[in-house]
Amino acid sequence: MRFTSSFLPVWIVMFPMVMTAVIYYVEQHSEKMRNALAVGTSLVTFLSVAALYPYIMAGNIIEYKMFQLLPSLDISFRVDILSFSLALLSSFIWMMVAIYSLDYMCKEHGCNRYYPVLIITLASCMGIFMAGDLFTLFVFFELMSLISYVLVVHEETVEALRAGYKYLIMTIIGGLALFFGIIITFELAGTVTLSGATLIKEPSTLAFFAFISFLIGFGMKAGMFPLHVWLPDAHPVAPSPASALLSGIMLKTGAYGLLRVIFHVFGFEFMQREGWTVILAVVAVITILLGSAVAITQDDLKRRLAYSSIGQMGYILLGMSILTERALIGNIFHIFSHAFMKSTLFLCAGAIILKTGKRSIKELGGIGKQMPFTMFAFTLAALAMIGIPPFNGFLSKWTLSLGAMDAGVPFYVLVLLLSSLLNGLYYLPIIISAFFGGEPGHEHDHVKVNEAGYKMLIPIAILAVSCLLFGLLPTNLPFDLSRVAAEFLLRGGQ
Amino acid sequence: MSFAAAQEINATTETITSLLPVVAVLFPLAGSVLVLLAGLYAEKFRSALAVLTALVTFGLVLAIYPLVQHGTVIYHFADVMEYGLFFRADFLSFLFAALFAGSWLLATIYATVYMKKEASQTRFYVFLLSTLGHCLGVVLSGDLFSLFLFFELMTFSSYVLVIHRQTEQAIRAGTIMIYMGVAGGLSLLMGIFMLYWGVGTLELAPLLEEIMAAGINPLVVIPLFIVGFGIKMGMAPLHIWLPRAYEEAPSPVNAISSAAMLKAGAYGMIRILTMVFTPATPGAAVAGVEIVKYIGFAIIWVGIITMLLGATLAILQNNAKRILGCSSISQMGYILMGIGVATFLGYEKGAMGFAGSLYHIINHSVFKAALFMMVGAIYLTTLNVDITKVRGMFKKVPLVAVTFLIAYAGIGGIPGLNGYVSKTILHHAIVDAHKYGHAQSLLFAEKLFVLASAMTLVYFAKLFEGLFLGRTRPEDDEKSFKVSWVIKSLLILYSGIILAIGVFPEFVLNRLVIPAAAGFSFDPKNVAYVAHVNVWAWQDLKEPLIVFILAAVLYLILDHARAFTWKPPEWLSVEFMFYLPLTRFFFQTCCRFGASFDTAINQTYMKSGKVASAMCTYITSFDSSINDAYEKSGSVARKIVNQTERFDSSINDAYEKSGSVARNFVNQTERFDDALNDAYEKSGRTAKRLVNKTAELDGALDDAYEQSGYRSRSLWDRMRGRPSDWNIKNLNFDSLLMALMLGLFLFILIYYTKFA
Repeated sequence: MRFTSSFLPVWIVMFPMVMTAVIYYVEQHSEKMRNALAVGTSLVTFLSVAALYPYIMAGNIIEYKMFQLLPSLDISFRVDILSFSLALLSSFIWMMVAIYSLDYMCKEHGCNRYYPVLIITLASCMGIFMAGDLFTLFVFFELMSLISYVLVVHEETVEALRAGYKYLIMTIIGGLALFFGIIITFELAGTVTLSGATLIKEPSTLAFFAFISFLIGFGMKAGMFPLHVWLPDAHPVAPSPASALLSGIMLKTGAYGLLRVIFHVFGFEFMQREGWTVILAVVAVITILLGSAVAITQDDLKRRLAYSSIGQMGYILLGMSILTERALIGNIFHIFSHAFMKSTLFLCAGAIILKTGKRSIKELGGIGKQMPFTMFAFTLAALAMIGIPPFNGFLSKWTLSLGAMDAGVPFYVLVLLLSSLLNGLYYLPIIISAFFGGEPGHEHDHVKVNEAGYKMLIPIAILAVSCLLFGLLPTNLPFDLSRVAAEFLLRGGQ
Repeated sequence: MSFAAAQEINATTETITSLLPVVAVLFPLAGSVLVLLAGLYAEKFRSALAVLTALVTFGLVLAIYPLVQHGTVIYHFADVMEYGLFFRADFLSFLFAALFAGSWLLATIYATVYMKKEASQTRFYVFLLSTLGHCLGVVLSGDLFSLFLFFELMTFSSYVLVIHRQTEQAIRAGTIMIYMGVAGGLSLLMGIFMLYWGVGTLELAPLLEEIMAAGINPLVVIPLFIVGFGIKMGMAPLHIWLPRAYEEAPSPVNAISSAAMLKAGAYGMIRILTMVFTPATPGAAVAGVEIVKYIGFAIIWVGIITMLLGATLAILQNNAKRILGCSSISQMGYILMGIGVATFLGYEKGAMGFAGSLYHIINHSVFKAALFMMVGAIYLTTLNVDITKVRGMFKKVPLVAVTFLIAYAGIGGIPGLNGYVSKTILHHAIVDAHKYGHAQSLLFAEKLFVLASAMTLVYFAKLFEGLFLGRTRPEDDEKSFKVSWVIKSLLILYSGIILAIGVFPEFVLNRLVIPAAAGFSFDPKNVAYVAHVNVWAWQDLKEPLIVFILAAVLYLILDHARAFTWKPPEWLSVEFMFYLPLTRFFFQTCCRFGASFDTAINQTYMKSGKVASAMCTYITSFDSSINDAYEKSGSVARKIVNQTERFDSSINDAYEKSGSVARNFVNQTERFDDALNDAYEKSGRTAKRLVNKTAELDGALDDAYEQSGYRSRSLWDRMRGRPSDWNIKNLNFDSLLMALMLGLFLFILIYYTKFA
């Protein structure tokens, strides 16, 4: 393992941050420039992350120390394979969403607020994934959480404000819990730098409190039971591209944080020895079943998707609690899969809402004839969600289940399969009524095709096809990255 | 081909790597895309293209035949879906693939006529062809992973075919079908997980030793597979999707569904029970063989129950398509029973059951597809196949009626037609199971087998009587029944096949069924015995006679008791007794419980929020009381100031008084000493000045006191602030408080742990 120092991570974080200010200045003068800059910034960020590929795949870890914010608390960056994977995924989805927003947001108010916020959340998200110590991670985590409040309440309806208030309160509680955890870690270890060596080596009451605080702090973001209550309110009220990011990427920062805590703060052997993973497993199983079961009873399309996100985050948490190699691969790969699937679904839902104004699933009968392309993409992603081969959702469930079998707990496999059945119960009716519901069709349907603009369809198409390709392709980049990342973590992060 | 030759081929030749199975699977999928494009741009060629695709696929499948005669054809795509896709064709796979592709070709030709007036034809052909690809994938895949992949795809693509009409009932039937399909798929997946985890391979090969060595209990794993494949197969009690789906689907779909999709389930069953769960060394008495044997015994009984249940249901139906659907359940029961016997008797004597069910699979594909096509031909004109309404078709469509009678005789097991051969072999099998398996109860099973055969004759008699005899409806009289020449020639072709197999049973047995058995672990002696079985012996020929007499008696009794028109109460159905409560229970526990649980959590949060806000209100009042205290203290200060002033003035008074005393004193001195003493005068003036200065000081002090009073009052006023800044709705205050409390808690905790 070689360490290199590179300015690139700083650039990746700082560039969108600086661009936020630029966009803020430009948008006073030209809307077109603003849009171009927003897409351009996300593109450049994505390319900059992609430029790290050769370094990272050669087995390097990039470390860069910026400055000391407080005595012995640095702002530092560290990019290993896990950071790189998630940063790559996030910046890619962000780019897709930015393109999608161009059409979607053009009828919305407050675009001048939306785009700078979109870009600065990208910056803070990159900061989270590339943070070199817990303190930096905390700073960016809070930045992202608080700023995304603006995305949640964008519509400024009563509902949105209520949901936003709930989100804000929960985020603050989570942030404080996280801070608490970090302070305890600092107290016990004297440093909060993430490195090969684990920080806390001795089990103690205080260490347990630290673990619980981290669990609350990151679990809050990840939509973990019983801290998930903000999620089904906040995700549906946000504008659809923002929901796609909230569900697709920002939930994963919580999962990422927990991975770092498990592997860098405590070490997975420590976790297993102390049996703390059991807490995570219990919570994960409840999260899976609760999210899936409640989703069935929802009638609002986006709300159903939000509950489905809770269930899917449960898979990721379950993978973390099992901690065998295959479970971990499945866990990281499911972060990829879910990002692709859920952002596709939310973007499709957004296209439907934009074109028809329908949010209730009961009204969606026959929508497949009106918007065949969108609903086809929706079907691909939904089948992936259910876990039908050869989609990526199947691959992650397959790997995760084999990991569970490795750990000798077929019960988890049963939970995963039951959840698949439940997923089927809430996704299939949407598809069935969309394509086959309503009036029986005739050879040449009289329903006029009324699709969203191509700027919305292209991102949807790319993401939906990714769901298929990343399950089917023999050289599967996300899967390879997951495998290398899992091996890396199990080696102790060296 | 003799068995010994087949065994030799299997043992000596190596595997052949060829893309042919892959091409056979992918070609119809590619064809479906072409049909889609044709549907969009050149509608005229759509159906022709579909037929062409099916034809070429059939040709491709037949091209595998020379290869499987020399060995197993394999092709491996490493790393696709991380696990890798594995294609493999042995003789059994080839047999199924040829059966599927052939039935599909005929059904597609039939569909070009049948579907002419239907809506969404493009969608129909696209999914018809892709389902063919998936079905071929099921039988041409070399491991359970690939098999599962195609099995799931088949569930979804066939769904679109079943709900083609998009009526409410069709959607309902399709919904039941797809959920059962998904549930079955998950059961299959669970079995696959357990197998893969234990053995590390999913290859379709004898694995029993490894399975037992890995500590997997076959009693857990095999039922998972049986449920998964059994749902597709229509096995009781998992059959409930089948009659509904058959009633609603278009006739070509019924034909391929009976001919192929049900058989895909049977194929899986055969692979699992008679291949994967057998020992690698044929006939070896390893641990686990006994357990698998018991499972085989159970399957024999499940098969018997399925055939009886299917037949009973068929007797009670009035819709011709539904009767045929229930008949399919019943016939799948025969096949299941054969597989059960093969599993039960295993290496030594199992070949008879295996051959019987394989033979019956071929036969059932032929006559059931033909029967559905006949009913469909009538449906095209009448748009109804309820046998209480549509009657007297013999006069209208005599050719259909004649071919129907041939197929009837075929399925009924009349000697000289195809069903007789397979039923006779299956009868041999169940007798063998009783004889060699030492299970007395199977003697009873044999009787039930005969009864089920009789019932087959009865419900087909009911169907024939209803549909072809009797008086036509007035509205049917006016219609002209012109059956297309395409359908006619198809029906004649099918009748020809039924007759040909019936007359030359050895051809199918020795050229198709026996070679397929070669890859399985059956005793060569037993297989040779099966290959030379003589179905024309008297003891076999007398069986149909018994069946026939039994059927006649049964028919008369049932007719007399008006059982044909009896509508069984709803609570008697499996659906009512088992599935409805199950789904209700599932929804109750999962959804309602989940939703209320979720709401409860939400409410807990809300309540805690309320408590927090109540606490904050209390703090506000506390705060204002502090404020009051400050205000009060301000007024106290003011009072003090006032009092000080009063004290001042009294001092002033005192000074003033002392001044006047001094003046008096001076006056008195003046009066006393007129003689003008300088010193006295000076001292008097000095005293006066002193008094003046004291008075000035007094005034200044007074001012100072007053000013300090004002200043302190304005300070308090400023510190009190405007009330809006401290509004409790302000979030920063909330978080500040929380931070404060958490921080306090934190430090207490740290120092407690550190110093305790």
